[in-house]
Formats: sequence, structure tokens, C-alpha cells
Amino acid sequence: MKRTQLLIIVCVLVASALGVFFYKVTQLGFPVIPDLDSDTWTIESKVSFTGRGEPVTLRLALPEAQGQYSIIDESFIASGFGIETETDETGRRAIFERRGQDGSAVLFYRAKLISVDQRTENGERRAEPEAISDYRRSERRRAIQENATPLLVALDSVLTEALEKSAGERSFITQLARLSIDTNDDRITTIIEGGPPDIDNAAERLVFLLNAAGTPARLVEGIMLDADTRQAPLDSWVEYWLDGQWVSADPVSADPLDNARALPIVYDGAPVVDGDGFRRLGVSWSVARNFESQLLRAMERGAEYAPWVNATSLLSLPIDLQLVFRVLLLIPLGALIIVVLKQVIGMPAFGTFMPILIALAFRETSLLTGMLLFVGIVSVGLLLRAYFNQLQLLLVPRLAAVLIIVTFLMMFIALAGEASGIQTGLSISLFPLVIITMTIERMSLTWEEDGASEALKKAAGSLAGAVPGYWILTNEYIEHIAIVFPELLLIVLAIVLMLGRYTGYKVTEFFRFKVLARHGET
Amino acid sequence: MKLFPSTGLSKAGVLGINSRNLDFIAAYNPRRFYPLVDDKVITKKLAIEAGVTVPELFGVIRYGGEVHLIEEIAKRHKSFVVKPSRGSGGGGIMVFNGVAKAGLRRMNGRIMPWGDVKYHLNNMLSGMFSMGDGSDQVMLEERLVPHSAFSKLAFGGVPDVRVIVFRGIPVMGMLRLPTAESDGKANLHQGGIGAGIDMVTGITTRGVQHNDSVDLHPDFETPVRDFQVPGWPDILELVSRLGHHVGLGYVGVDIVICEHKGPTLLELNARPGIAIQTANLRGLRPLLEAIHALPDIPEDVHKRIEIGKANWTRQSLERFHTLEGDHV
Repeated sequence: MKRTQLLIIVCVLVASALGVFFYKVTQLGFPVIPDLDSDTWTIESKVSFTGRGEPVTLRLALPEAQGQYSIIDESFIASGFGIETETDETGRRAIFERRGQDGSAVLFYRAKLISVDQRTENGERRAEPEAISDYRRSERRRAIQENATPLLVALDSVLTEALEKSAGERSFITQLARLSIDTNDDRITTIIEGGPPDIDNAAERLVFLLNAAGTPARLVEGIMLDADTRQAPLDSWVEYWLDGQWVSADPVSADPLDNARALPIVYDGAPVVDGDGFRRLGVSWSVARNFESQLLRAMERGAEYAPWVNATSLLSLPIDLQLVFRVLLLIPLGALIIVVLKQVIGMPAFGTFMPILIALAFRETSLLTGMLLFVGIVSVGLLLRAYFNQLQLLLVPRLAAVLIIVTFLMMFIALAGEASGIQTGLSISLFPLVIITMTIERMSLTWEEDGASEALKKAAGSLAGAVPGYWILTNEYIEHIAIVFPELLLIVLAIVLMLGRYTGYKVTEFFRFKVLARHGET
Repeated sequence: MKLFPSTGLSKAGVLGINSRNLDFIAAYNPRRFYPLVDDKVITKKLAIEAGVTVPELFGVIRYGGEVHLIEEIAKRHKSFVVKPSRGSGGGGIMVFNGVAKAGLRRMNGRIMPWGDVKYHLNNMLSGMFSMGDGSDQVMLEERLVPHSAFSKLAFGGVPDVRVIVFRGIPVMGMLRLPTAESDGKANLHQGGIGAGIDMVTGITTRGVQHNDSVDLHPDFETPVRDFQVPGWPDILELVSRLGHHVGLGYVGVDIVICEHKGPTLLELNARPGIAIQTANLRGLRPLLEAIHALPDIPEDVHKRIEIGKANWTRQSLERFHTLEGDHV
């Protein structure tokens, strides 16, 4: 009875999942394999603010329509606001206006970008911009003869040294950057003191020196398009004019950055958002690598023949939500792994879904660092937990104390990571505190009651379970399938339901009862 | 649902955890009866109802404010056991056999200071050793003195007999002996010895420790096989009576054979482990399936014991089908 009900449910689930999947693949042409080389991106800017009941004017800097990227589609979501765009020498911006805004409001800007190969672009060279500086060589010479200020002398000396040590424009820039960062050099301190304000900052100083040398250069604030993220940080770098094009470069070493990744938004320190009539301004940028054009075509076809496909597609959600679902949709697969590990293999582990939660945490840190962090924090926590036990604290306060210590540990790791230049420090902020604390508590209990070997076995089991979980949660192909064909998760549900009625042996039981298999009754 | 092909295990009739959970626990143990066995205070009442001997309850500590009561009880009774009411796997249980000024004397002779005792009680009250979440109560109970027959078989603790009872019929039993390694605890996964018992005679057939066959108790070098469990007929009657009374179809009954009181109920377990099969070198499945096939179960406890013995020797249970008339 239960069996037949279950079989019917499973068949319905599998049939509907496969039906929708094959329809989408064969009729609408949804791609099964992601095109990982595709270089189109969607960026989304979310501006939130609170109005004071006064007229609001808000200017938001937008990515450049020309440059390495060309914008193929852009849209605003700002109900009740008048929108116009303007372009000046500091970049392009959108102006949102409203007569009176009371309470909080959120504005969205979304753009689809395609990388354009500069070399094939019409073949025409753009007009060379002019270096903006009062200290260009000819003017400097004259100025020194008239009035040899310490600034001019220092500047001249630095530029001359860079010129002497270099063979060509490219190495001149590198030499200049190398000299520019040395703040122990008296000439550089003189330049910082005598030059325009703000050039104690390495990037601004390099821009100043390059312009003084006659090489057009500017400071850029923008986004590096390298991974899908909901909180893309605004980076700053420099651009200089070399061989007829703007080259994006590291603000300290002046080494060129990957032009295909750097998306400029504002130049020369212009604000990303400004205006008046509001307070509590917040701006965040999300970035997502677009699915390839094949997928876009499929969506268009879908809009024509089967509007329900698009209506139920996660790809129509705003990107920051899409990015959440890219992780969320993988969790059912993680759950499936746990079910297999526990019911079919019989792997010992703390808690039911602990391994998958650990895997989720590893996703933020990468597997190896995650493992090291986990083992490190848990072992220090175990030592402290043992000490707290000697102090005879009650259970809940003791857990809380361990939790607080774990918070401090993570803080120290983050600080140490920052000091030694390892970036993992930032990502452990999402490392789940409570999970680690519970692991410590359970592990120390198991340790006391069943001995060290049992505790270590379970800890190893939890970590080992996290490895396949990590692999699934970070695999690009699986992620693509999950977000493009979420209906396939019904099959996962079907498998989990089937395993719910699994009465066979666990793999570990073959070892546990191997004596019986040999000598048992026949 | 099966995944693996027929193997030595299935030929030996081994019952796996998955099958135990679905085919026997889920099918025969209604969830609402769980509190009866999970809470040892309730189990004790139930056992008294069924006319089964239980250790005397000296007192129950419910809140942190009552922890000081242990001093009074200790003075009055000297020798007693503290255990969490909803404990699992023997966690938190502590045995004392004397009172000193500084604290309580444990079985190993060491004095546990009052502070440590109360800290331990508080940990138990906050549910550290208990199933589920949240708080628990602490039971203070009579310490059972094991039967003198065990003097050379149990190291530093109390041995017990575990019997699996299915539909009120005893199915399989094992004697659990504490060792130095298990720290006086009779639990197999902590290093205790499990000895299979012939259900007809009550004589042990073999012993295992950590899944390996052992013939001698490691601490005494005494043989663990061919040992006659004292009071075996009484044990069978106790487990069969109680197993029928609690309403759980599949239950593990743990019994201590007390020097003074005879077989005494220690606790009931709604999810008894499957290690008993290794101790007996015998799979549970065929024994359980034969009982599963019985259309009805006799009310008379002696009839049920008779079925249990017949089942152990693998006789056909056909003849019991007609015992109570109406069957399909």
C-alpha cells in the first residue's frame, strides 16, 4: 500500500521532471552544458536611501557605453522617479528626480555588457587624449629656469631617472611606478608636500607623475568582472594611454590588468552617487556572468511558444536573487549526498546535515583553507571547552562562552590573513559560527563518553562528507543544470523518497557483521 | 527497496539498521508510546503496574534548586545511583556507595567532591546526556547489587541481560559484562563484552568484544561461554510480560539480576541496537519474520515464552497459529 503510493509519486515526479527537461532541450533549445568562455555579463546596481520629504535629485554613475565593454541592454527600475542620462568628461550618469520622497526607496539599474575586442573594432584609432598637467616637460624646463622650486627639481629628477633607466614607453611607466611608491625617497616626499592635494595616495601620485611626464593617465573607480557576486566591491586602478588605447593598470605597480575584466564606472575621483534630498544612502553592485547567447535565444523562443517556461524560469529574477538561488538549488543535491552517506554507506558524522553545512562554509573559503580553518578552530575550541568544563559552567553558558571564543578566533584569523596578505580572511566571515560551536560541544561529549577514537572517527566522517558536498556546490556544470533546469530537482526528490524506504544493508554493516556472513546460519 | 545483491549477510539473516527502523520500529512501535520508555520515571510506574520488580526510587531532582536534596538522600541511603530520566546510551549514569564529609564515594573508591557532584547533576538537568533537546530530571535510585554468580565476570560495574522482545515474545538475548576498558559500563560500543544466550536454557554460547570473538573475560581470565545465567525462567517471564504490557511491538528490555531481588528491570529501549546479532552469531531477521507471520498473539505469558523457545530452535510456528481460534 505504502509501496504503491510511493511508486506512483516517484513515477509522477520523474516523468514530469524529464518531460519538462526534454521539452526545454529539444523544442526550445536550452543548452545542457554551460559555455564557460562566454564573455557577457550582467551588472546590477541597487541604490537605497531614505527621503526627507523634500525634492530628491540623485546622480548615479553608470558604466561607459564605449570602451572594452559595450552595453547591449540597460534598464532602470525606479517607480515614481523621473530618469535621464547625461555624459560628461567624468563619465556617464543617470539622474533620478522626484518632487518629494518620504521614507525609504530603492532604485535599480541593470545593464548587459558584451566584451568588445579592441583590435578588430573598425581598425580606426581614437584621437589621442592630451595629458592634463602644468608640469609637462617643456613647461617644466621653462619653469625651472625661471624659478627652481624644490617640487619642480624633484619632479624633474624623478622623471629623468625613470627615463634613463628605461627603454621605451612601457618600461618608462614601470620605472616611474617603482620610483613613485618609494616614500622614503626625499624627492617623492617633496612631491607629496609640494604637489596637488591627495597625492599621498599611491594611485593618485602615479596619475600625477604620468601626466607630468606627458603620458595621459587617469584614476578609475570601477568593478572587476571576475566572479558572480552579490556584493561586488568598487576597485580603483589607473588607466594610461599607450599605443593608441587606454590601458587599465594596477595602481601601485602599473602592471596592466586584464582589460577584459576591468569595467570603469567613474574617473578622477568623481563620486559614484551624489545629489541631495536624502540620507542613509547605500549602493551595492551585483555581477553575474551571463548565460551564453544560446540560452538567451532559447528564452526568446520560450517567450513566443511557451510563455510558462519563462514565467517559471529563475533567469527572469533580478540577479541578486538569481545568485542566491544558484547556491540554494544545490542544497537538495547536498541533502541527497547526506542521505546516501548516512542510509546506504553508514558514514559516522556529527548531526544530520552537518557535513553539508560544512561544505557550504567551504564554498566561501575553498576546500583546503576551509579544512585547515575548520580543523584549527575546532581543535582550539576543544581545548578551551575542556578548560571551561574544569571551571564547572552550566551547559548553555558554556556553549555561549565557546561561541564567543570562536568569534574571537575567526577575528584573529581574519586579521592574520590580512596582515600576511592572504585573502581568505575576508571570506571566513560567513563560516558558520554556530555550526563550529555545536561541533566542538558534540565532539567533546563524544570524546569524554566514547573515547578519542570515536570522536575523531565522527569528525573525520563529517569532514569526509563535506568533500563530495563541496564538489557539488562548486561545480559549474551542476550549477548551470540546476538553475536552467530546476525541474530536475524533482528527480532528486524522487530518489530521496525511494531511499526513504530503503531497508537494505549499509555498506558499513558488511564490515560490522562479516563474522556472521561467514559463520551465520544457512 | 534493495540496492545490493543477495549477499552473505542476507543469507545469514542479519537485520540491518535501515530494515530495523522501517520494518520493525516504524511498523510496530507507535510514536506515542515512546515517552513511556524514553522517560525512565514513567517506565518504572508502568513496570510496577505489570507486576515487574524495579529498583527502588529514592527521589527525583527536577530543578537546579533541588540539587542539594542529594545530600539528604545520600545520608539516608549511602549507596545509590544517579541517572538522567531520559538518558540515552548510559550517558551520565554515576554510581555511589558511600558518603564522606568531602563528597560521595564512587565505586572505584575515589571521593567525588560535592562541588563536582552538583555540577554533574546540573549538567544532567540541562539535558546534556538526554535524548532530544532541553532539560531533564535526575533520578536517584537504589544501587542494584549484582548476583554473586557474576563476581568473576563483571569488572567494576553491573552486568545486565538485554532481551529483544517482539510482539511480547522473547526473541534473542545477550549478557553484557563490564570490563576495565568499558569503565564499569556494560555498553558494547564502550568496550564491554556481549555474550549470546541460548534462549531455551539460558546458557551463554559465545562472547564478543569490539566485534571480535572472545572466550575469556580479559580482566579475570574466566570463560564467558557456557555460563548459566541465574534465574533465566524468571527473566523470560519478566521480559515477556513487560514487552506485552508497554504496547511497543519491538522493544529491548534490560534486566539486572540482583543478588537480593532477583531479575529487576533496568530500562526499556524502543530502538534496541543490532549488535546482539554478533554476540549470538545469529541473524535476527528469520526469527522476527516467523513471529511477524503469526496471526495473533496469546494473552498467556507462558504460551508466549513457549513460542519464543520454539522460534529460537527454528521450529515451525504453524502449531501456534490455531491457539486462539479465529485467524485468517
